[in-house]
Amino acid sequence: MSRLEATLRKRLGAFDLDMALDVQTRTLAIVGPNGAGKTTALLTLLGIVKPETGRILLGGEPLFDAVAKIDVPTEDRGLAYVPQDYALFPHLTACQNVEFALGCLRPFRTAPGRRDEARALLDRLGVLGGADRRPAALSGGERQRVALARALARQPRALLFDEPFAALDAGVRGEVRSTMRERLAELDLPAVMVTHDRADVEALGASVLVLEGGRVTQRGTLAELEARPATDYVARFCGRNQPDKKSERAT
Amino acid sequence: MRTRRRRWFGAAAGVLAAALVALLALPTISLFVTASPAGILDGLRHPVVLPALVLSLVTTTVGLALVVGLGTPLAWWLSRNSGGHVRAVETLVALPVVIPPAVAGIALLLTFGRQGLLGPVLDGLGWSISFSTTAVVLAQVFVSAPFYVQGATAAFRGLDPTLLVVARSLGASQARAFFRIAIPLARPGLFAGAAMAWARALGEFGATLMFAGNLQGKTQTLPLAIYTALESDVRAAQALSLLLVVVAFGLLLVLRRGHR
Repeated sequence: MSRLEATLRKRLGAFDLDMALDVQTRTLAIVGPNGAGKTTALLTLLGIVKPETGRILLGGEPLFDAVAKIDVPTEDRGLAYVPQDYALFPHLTACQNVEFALGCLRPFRTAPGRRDEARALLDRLGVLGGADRRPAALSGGERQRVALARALARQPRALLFDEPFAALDAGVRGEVRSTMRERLAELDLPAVMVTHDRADVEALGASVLVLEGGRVTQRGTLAELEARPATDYVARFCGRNQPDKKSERAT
Repeated sequence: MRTRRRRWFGAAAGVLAAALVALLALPTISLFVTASPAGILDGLRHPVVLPALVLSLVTTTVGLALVVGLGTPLAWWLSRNSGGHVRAVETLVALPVVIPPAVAGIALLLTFGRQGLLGPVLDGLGWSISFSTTAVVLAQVFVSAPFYVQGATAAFRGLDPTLLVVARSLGASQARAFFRIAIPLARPGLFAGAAMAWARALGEFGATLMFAGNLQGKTQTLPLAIYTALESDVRAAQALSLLLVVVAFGLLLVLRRGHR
């Protein structure tokens, strides 16, 4: 059974990142104000940032263990990372972006085989039409789908998303959210999503971990957070995008 | 009143600027207008020309291969790290740009020459570098490498680090991320740096003269051939100069186009 567990402590400039998380197939949303350490948390899971102490387990296997001195390199962790602006390789077409990931997985596969596989993945996500275009010529929604196809091509054991919908126009955001919910349900993998937006949490039915100044100030479901917000930030987070609820009640 | 003062300032600035442009352009223009096609062809038949042309092409090609081969890893390292030691290395690498060429020649002699720092070691290996074609290449690498390393470092620093993180997360080794993502994206900057370095190597004169000498077919590159030809045949020196100007100008045009 896939499960991503981590306890981390990392000294940052102004504060320490000190958090624990345990994700199974229900997506975990890490929310928090700017500069709370959310992206750093993802980079630490990825192995780009090295924590001082802690342990990261994926499916029970250690990816990092400060005591046992285990530090699996980023490329071998099996974690797909989709950053905020999707970071599609600008010099490659959508199809070649996906082929890059396939090529890392199976370097000796023939190029035509890779191409067909990449196109099949793009087709599954509904962006086959943009396969031969470079990222600059794709719309925001198309880019997001290509990034997702590329991440899936890697056959990840867990997914990490940084603000997956922030770069999209409000008009397409809803549609992309529902595509992503379907894919995540299908994949049945642990997923961690950093976000600012309670609508993202709602759309993916995610559980929430609130990170403030590097520390976890609250965790639970959206309903639990709403019922008993532990900090001002949580109260504001729950109140946002909710015109039916008066903000006075929260404060 | 105010407009008149502004007009006065604009006119003065325009005259001064035009003076500098004239000073920079006139010598090059003179090279062309004082030449006749027959004179150029005659000049190019001078016996120093062909050996120097071949030697310059060979040495600058080998030198550029060395500069790119050694400079690319250095530029990558400089771009991926920060701190005092990185700044120290960057300063060291920039040093040959500000050192006068004659000083560079002496410094190279005192390093690789028979009496130099590495002299005994090289002597033991039966390798005499000074006043050989190897010395020409070494002098060119010394003066031109900083141009490539600085250009390549800037190109690598301009890359979005997230792209490299994503490449690694997709399963790419550091080498694969470097060759498939970093190099293609930095390519325009790498080319510009290599072109500047090559132009500097092609024009190298002072350090070569001091460290490698002026031996036809062995160490006499195009700039040294110009210097030699000037004593006997001004037309040969002029023809060679025109050749170098045309090459340099062509390179500049290609670089300008690349920037757009």
